[in-house]
Amino acid sequence: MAIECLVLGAGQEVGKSCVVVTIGGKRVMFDCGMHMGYHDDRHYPDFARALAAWGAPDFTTAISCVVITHFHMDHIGALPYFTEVCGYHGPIYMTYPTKALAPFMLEDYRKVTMGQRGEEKQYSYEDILRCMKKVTPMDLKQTVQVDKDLVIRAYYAGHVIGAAMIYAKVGDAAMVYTGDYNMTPDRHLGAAQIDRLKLDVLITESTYAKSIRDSKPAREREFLKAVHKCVSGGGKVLIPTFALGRAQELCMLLDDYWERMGLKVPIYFSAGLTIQANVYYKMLIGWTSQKIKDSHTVHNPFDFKHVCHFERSFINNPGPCVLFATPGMITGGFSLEAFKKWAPSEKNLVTLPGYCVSGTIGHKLMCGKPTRVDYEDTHIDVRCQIHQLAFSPHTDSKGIMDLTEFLSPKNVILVHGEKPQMAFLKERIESELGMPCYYPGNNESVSIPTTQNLKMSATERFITGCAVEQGKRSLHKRNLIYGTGLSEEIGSDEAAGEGVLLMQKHKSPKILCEDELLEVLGMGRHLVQFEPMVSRIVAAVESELQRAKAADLDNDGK
Amino acid sequence: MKLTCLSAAAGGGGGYHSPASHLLELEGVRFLLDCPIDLSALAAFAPVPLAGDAGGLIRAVPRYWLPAAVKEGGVDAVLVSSATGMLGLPFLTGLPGFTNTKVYVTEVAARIGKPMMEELVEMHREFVRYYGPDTDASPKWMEGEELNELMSMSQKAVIEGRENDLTSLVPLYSPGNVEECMHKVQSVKYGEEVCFNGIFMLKASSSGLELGNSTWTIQSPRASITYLPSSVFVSAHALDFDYSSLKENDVILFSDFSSLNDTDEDNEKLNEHSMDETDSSLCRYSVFRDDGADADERVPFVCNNDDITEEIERISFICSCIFGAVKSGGSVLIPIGRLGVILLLLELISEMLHSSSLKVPIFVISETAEEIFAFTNTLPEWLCKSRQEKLFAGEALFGHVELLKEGKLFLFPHLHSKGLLAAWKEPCIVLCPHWSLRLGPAVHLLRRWHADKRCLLVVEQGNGAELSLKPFMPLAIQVLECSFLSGVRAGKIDPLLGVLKPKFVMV
Repeated sequence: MAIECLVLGAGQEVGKSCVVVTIGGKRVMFDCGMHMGYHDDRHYPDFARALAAWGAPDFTTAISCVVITHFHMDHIGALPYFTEVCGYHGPIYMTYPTKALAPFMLEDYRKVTMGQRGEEKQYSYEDILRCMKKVTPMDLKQTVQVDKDLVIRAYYAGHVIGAAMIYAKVGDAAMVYTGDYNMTPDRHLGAAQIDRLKLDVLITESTYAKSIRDSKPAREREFLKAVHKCVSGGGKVLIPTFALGRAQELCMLLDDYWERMGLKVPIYFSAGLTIQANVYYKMLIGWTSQKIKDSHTVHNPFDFKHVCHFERSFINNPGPCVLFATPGMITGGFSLEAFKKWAPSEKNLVTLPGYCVSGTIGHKLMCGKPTRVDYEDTHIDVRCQIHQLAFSPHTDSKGIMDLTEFLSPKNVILVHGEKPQMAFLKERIESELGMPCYYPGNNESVSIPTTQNLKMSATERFITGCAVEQGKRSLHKRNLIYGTGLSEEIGSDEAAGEGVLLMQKHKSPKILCEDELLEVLGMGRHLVQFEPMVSRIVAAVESELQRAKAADLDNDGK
Repeated sequence: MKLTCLSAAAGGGGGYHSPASHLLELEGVRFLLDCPIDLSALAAFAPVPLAGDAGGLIRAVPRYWLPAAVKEGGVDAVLVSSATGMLGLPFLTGLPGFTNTKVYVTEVAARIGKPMMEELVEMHREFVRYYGPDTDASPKWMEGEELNELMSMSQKAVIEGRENDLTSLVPLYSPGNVEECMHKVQSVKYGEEVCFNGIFMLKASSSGLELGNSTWTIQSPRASITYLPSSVFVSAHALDFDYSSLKENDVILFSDFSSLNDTDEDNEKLNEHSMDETDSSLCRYSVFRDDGADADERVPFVCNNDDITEEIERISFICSCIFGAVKSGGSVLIPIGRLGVILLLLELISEMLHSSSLKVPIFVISETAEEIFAFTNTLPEWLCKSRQEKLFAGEALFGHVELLKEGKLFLFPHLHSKGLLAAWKEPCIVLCPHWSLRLGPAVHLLRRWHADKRCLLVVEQGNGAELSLKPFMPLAIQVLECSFLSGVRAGKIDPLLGVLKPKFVMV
């Protein structure tokens, strides 16, 4: 039996993660994301084409279940489209935090992009709610029996709150799909954690397939120093960020620093959204790092002590402050408004956490320091300082190699990365770890053969027979005769038992003693006798035996 | 396979505070199933500080019954089904037979169990401060007349071979023992499969009774066994009883005797099923495995939510009594030890106070309150469906979060805590430990209010109210005894077994 992996999205690219794996006759869809760089057909995975290839009447019959790893748009963005427009009605699984926070992300993105593309492919707010109602939440390490044969289990992935790596198993075939993960703990999340599993295939992200990142504390210190310098000089700090994830991490960092340094400068959150998100984070504290979990009884770290109530008019107030404003990348909204106000003063600081898509003001600021930014019809003089924060919640190349080595799967498939880097990593995995590795493009599939274990029972007499044999420590290699007429020599360090494998139709295979076989077959014993022609052979065998015994004794001596 | 009953469910609350404890031997491996602490001896001691007549109670540092598991020598693993089911463990974990023992318990039960142990130790310390430390030598009262009295008062006396066994009465464990015990804990989540000893697969599923309570499935190469402690099908706070994960297991160890403490009507029904609790020896009976055609019909019957509606009605009734008391100017003391009931009570009381615009402060005086209350708001995946919806809607999981914010509810670790006097205003409603009325702030508050007939004391039925109230005589305070849902109703046992289809049931 083979495992068939069809990559519908994130094949040799980053965006619209979607992999459909056929394992033991079950079809599981991992992630259902959208591509944020495209506004045409390439926006969603090509579901229709896949359906035609499977030859199924609809998605519900074609797919056993959908599993979402985390709430980022490139992993969940197409889900409402898939359930409400394509009409998939089967089970959907995601972790509790993902289920709680996904509607925010989906709705936020829907609002931002409204009117940017054709109406027919867009889903409504009601669609999001209907879609989320169908989701079954799951806990980490909880073994979920999807149906009689299919079992899935989530492991901690660290990337964002609620991110999970998914283990799926049907019969003896097993696999892991990582989603995005982080092998080093960050301020509020722990590192990815998984058991040592026996896997046929590992599908892993490879965003940073080639790079190795330096230590985080150094970058954190740098950030804090820059912010502190700015506010102590009476300047204002603008941190344009999205509502979830980075905002909480940086705020924890600042809140902690403020506490230690006894700073009194106010920290603001611009959007109600982020404040609402903090409410969720407080309840989901069990999904953060162990350190936070242990300390939260005294003080919930998402109860920020130094975050003050904010009103829009405050951006005109004099005096230093720190402001978290949405959206990130300064694409519009309040972060742009604050930027316009604050950029002309050299006392102020703009901190850009994470990646900025080209075309945004954030991107312009990151590519060297402009003195003037034109946005639509207004010109903004930029005299403020710019600080870049190279934080990323993805694992680096070392992390990917470590995880792959730890899990030692029979095959590796890379997704969610850029083609040249993936080619580089494939080489490394194949040469250093000796595992076949693939990185299929979109709409390509990889077929992987699996081993099948056959369960067989042995009779009591056979087992006692073996035990006696082993007691004698015979080194003779024995033949195991198969009932089907095949014979194979079994060589192992320990003595192999002698028996007959009986395979009958409609019965489970069984190992018997020779005598028992006769009983089962109801036949008498026939003996064929040989006359030794050369006595030297016997002598040779005997000396061989003695040598073996001596070796044994040697071993025992040691 | 061999099952030994070490102790039957004891004490009040249908075995909530002290669930049954069993020893299971399977393939040469010894599993201890739950190890509660037996507080029945506590009732014979006078609470401190002594005030007037102790009512013939022993005036000394109390001692506690050692869990029977001690005598059984070592065990390889302990499966714990609830926070109360692990309170006796610190007695054992320091013993030589337990050096390599692993304790399996759900994450939440462990997180709740540990502060419960620490609180018990802390409350016990009050006695030590009063009488001086308890030495290992047997104290005077053990030799005298008082001992017999203790025996007659303590229900334990009926258990054979126990009467004269003074070695079983020991001082309480120390904070060090608690730490040691917690080091052995391997916490799991619901539905997590853990491998033990290479051949056993252990899995906890929710039992619905309390946050973090679980049933256990032990899968050995030859048989699959379900350990089924008290369960509730539909809960108002904890995740519902996940009975479907227990289907088709070969053997069920059924240790839910809560219904025996219920009404007579239930008892009669139960007798028809030939179950007998007093006979703690093995009572095996085979259940007819039906072909499943009508098993599906039973599902709606067992999981309909009458039980929980009844439970809410009961708690509402308690609330109306509380309301009546505070309206007449009396204070209310609620020494109830069930987390679930406390959380529900708080929500219902505040609702009632709010609708009547009566401003009465609610105090929770317990060392663990702050920790546990904060904790309960961070475990959405362990709660019932309706509370999980609150997470998805972005609301606090329990009402107490809002109450604390609005300043209607106050949490203090001790009666002498800073700020308590400033906030204190009578009449008030106080929730505090301990249900035995021998330990904790409840003792002091009951002393304060026992002669005021406007005040109200809410206690749980079955804790031997007469004995526990003895040192507080004469009593004018109103006493409301109430019972709570603590397991499967007798009428539902049969259909449940029909759904689970085991080959054997052990009671």
